[in-house]
Amino acid sequence: MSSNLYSIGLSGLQSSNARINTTGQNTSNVDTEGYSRQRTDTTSSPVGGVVLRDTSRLVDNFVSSQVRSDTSTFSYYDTYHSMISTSDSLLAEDSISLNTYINNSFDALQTVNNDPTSSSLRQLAHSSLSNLVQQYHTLSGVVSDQEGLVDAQLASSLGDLNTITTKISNLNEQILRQEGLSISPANELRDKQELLAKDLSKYLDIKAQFNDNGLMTIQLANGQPLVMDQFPTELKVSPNPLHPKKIDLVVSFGDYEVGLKTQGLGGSIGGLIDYRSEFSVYADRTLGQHAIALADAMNTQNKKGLDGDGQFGKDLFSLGDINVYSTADNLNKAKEISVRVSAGQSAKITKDTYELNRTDDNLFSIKKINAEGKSTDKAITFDPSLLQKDNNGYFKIDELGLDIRLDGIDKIDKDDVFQFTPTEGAAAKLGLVSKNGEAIALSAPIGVSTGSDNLSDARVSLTSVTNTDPETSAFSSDGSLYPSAPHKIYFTSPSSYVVQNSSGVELAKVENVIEFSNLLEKAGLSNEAGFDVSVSSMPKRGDEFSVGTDNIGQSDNFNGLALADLQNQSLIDGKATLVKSFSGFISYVGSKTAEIEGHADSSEIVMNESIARRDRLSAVSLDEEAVNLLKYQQSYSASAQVVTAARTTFETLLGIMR
Amino acid sequence: MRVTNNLIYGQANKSMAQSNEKILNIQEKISSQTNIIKPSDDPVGASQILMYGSKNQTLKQYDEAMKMATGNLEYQEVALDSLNDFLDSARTLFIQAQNDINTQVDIEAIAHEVSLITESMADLMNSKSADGNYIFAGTDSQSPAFIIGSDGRYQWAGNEGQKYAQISEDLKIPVTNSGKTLFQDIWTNRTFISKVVDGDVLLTDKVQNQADFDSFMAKHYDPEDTKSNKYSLVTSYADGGRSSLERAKEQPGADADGYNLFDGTSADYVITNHLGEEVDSGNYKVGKPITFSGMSFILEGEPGASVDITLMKPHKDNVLNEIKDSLATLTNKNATHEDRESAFFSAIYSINNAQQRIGEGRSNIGARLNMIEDRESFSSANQLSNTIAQSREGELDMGAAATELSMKESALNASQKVFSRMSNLSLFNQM
Repeated sequence: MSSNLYSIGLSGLQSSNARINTTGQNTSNVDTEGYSRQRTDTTSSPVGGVVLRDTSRLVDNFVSSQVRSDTSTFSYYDTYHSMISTSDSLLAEDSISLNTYINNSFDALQTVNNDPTSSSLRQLAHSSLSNLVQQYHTLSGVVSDQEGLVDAQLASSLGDLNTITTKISNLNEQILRQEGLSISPANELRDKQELLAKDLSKYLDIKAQFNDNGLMTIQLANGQPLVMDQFPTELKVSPNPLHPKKIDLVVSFGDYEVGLKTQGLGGSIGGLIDYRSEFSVYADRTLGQHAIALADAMNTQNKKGLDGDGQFGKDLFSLGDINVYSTADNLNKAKEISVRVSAGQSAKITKDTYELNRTDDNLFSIKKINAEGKSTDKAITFDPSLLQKDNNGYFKIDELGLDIRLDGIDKIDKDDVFQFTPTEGAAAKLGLVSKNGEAIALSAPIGVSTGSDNLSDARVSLTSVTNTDPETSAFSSDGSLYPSAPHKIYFTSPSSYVVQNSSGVELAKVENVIEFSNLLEKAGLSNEAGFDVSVSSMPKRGDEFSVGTDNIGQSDNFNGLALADLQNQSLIDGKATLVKSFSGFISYVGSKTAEIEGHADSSEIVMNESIARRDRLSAVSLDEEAVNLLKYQQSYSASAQVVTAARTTFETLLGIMR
Repeated sequence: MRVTNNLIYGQANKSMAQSNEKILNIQEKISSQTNIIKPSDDPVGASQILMYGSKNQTLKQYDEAMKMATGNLEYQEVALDSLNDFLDSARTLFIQAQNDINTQVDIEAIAHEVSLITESMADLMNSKSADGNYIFAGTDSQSPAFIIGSDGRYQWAGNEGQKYAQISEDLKIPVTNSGKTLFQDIWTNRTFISKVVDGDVLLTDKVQNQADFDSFMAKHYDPEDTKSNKYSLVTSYADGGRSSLERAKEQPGADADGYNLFDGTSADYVITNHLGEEVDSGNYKVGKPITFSGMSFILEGEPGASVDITLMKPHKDNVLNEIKDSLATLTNKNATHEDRESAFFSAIYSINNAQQRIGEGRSNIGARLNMIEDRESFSSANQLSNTIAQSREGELDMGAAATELSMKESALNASQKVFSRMSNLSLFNQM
């Protein structure tokens, strides 16, 4: 009987001791990250006393998995936000904003229009253009620096990630061993493993599950396994020769690799990849499109005038080469293809990627693929052998605004795929080729004069210069007019005129004229001439008006005004002015950042809420432990009293015997 | 609810971090005086502010162009104004010289004065702006507008180009005026020549009424078909068929050989064009003028004469050359009265036309200056409204911001107090 009492007291002492131990473990780990409070379970013994069962953690796997998924969502938006906020805070700054530099350049052009003979004003305009080019470089530098940062961060994240998956699979092994030796679960190891799984979820959106042995397996959101039992895999970046800017991930199983869909990866790695593919690419191409539009429009206009030295204007800006990419096995063929933007056609250039492939023996086709990877328009098919080639072997694809040269056309096989993106990196490759301010063509290439013997007081003026190409216009390469081009307009009556060439041969006859603007257009000659003239009022019979290149003044600003007017033209995609387009870009950056920031804020609240839920269940409450401690201390004392009682009882019994 | 230590400390941590962040945000806004620090604060507002900013920048660009244009135009106006004054004095002197009581010495003195004025005018036509450009030379502004040729005449050496200034997005105005329009292409007086082809008469012709003649020329002069510029005047007796001798005999005591014989005799005339169609006819008295469209013919002699009239091709020249030519005639001692009269006439005709053209030029410049003035006030109103719109989008409401700041501060204070209270509440402290 009393031996029973002893054993009851002893079991009480043992269980109280064990519980005080557990309380101690809990209070001492109150600040340990990932620690889940433990509880020692006991049951009453049918033979009397208490039986210690296991010491287990208080965790809810559903809450834990919620914490992981919320963590990865937050981590995704947080990473994205921290990347995009750099652009956000930089771009609208006055000293960085492209608009400031565009405005300055056009200001300078307008000023030089006031006095085209001033070489210092020309120099000023030239240096403001050079600042503008510099600013394109700075802005694209902001974008490419961020890209570099993404690459570096991605590399270190993948390193971390692979370490974590290895650790998790190692822990699986340890847990299996330890739990085989004890009735209690391997609480600390499991806490550690769950903490690792939570860390992992910062990088990727994962699902952690427990198999039949209670071991953790990790899968990606799309089901791709990452840790299977005790076998970790490795996540790696794989280069994409067809599209070098794109980040491809593969899962390596040691012997073989499996490509990974990069959409919806979640976590910071997903954030980095999406930042690259959504924002970074968009920003780079937007700036590139901007740079192409500016350079092409300025170059085209500059060629329509005469520069400070009286020569036809040349290109002011240069655009870099467009890189052509192909699949790994066709990479050597990509250099057979050259692409450039057709002069004056920049409004047709979109931010898409263009895919060229050979469809059969004669035909090639090009289709546009937008940033989301969908093809936008119908593919354009052409036969290179039927297209007119220029001196450098380029032929023009009018619909796309591109010139293409195929060198080794025989080397390109059917179904070979090549990709190029004209806008990619174009802002970084923009250059200023003109050496000084004299290169800016301010003057019209042609002058007009009113016959001195005219009977009327009507004056002639130049209305437009549309083309100065020696091959397609009235202008020969030395700047003079071809003898066969329109030289003189002679009015045979106040309402009819003839257009004559340099030797007086009639080129066209127009009758019943009631309005005297664009006389060459009325005669159907303006296109091939490349210019047009107007007369101010009704002429009289015998009046003549002539055009020529002999008497062009140095202070003419006809073309300069046209250059300065480019600031008001819808150059980008044929829809927006330079300034408006950049403001639109700023607004895109702002709204994208605000959107991501909103997601980051809300996902943080959600994450904190689920962490709080987990803490409510699994974290340690010191007050609770203090109460428990008192309770177990008292229960210990009580059990000790039971032992004392047993002894007293026993001694009393012995006393009777004495 | 189970309140755990992680919850208590986590909550305190978060609330203080949030309050701090908010205070920092407000602080940044206050120090930069704007509601929009980053585009993400208000994406639409940020791009609007940029747009308004560039709009203003462009308007300022046009303001600058307008200032330069105004300077240019005013400079030209001053030059034209002085030229006008010079032409006034030249005309006064010519009218003075026309007076018959002037001796040749007087006329030479006047001619000298006029030639000095002419040189001053030439200097004005070759005016240079402050930046060294010849303002009336068209766009060929690095060399003079008029040069003196080897024949001593002023020749136009500029071109007809005009420099424009862009004064608004869609509006550009010329800021220069070519001297070709203003000075060179000035009509000289239109003339004709006439020649007796048949009959024994003495012919005197002149332009009687320049305005009538000018309008006749404007209507009928054909630059292409020179034949059609020929007319012929034929005179005949009013009662037909009677010979001069017959009529002479009727006159008592008549001198049968003198032209005077036919003075005052009534006769008919017919003027036909080159096709032989009659364009004018009528009755005249012999020795009295026949006028036709501003032309006047005096035929002294027997009717029955035929005169060919040819309209001269009108031509343009600058007033300087015209004045020079007239002066040459005036200073020529041998010039006849008629020569002098016609020289006076052509000088004054040219001066009048030049003044008219200069007047047109000035009113043109005035119109442009007015336009610039209107544009300037529009532009400044526009800039003001843009600036207001800009500040509406982005300007910080100081009062609201200050209130918000103190609100956020007290929130932080409260969080801190709550935390220090909570941290003291532990059962372990009581044991």
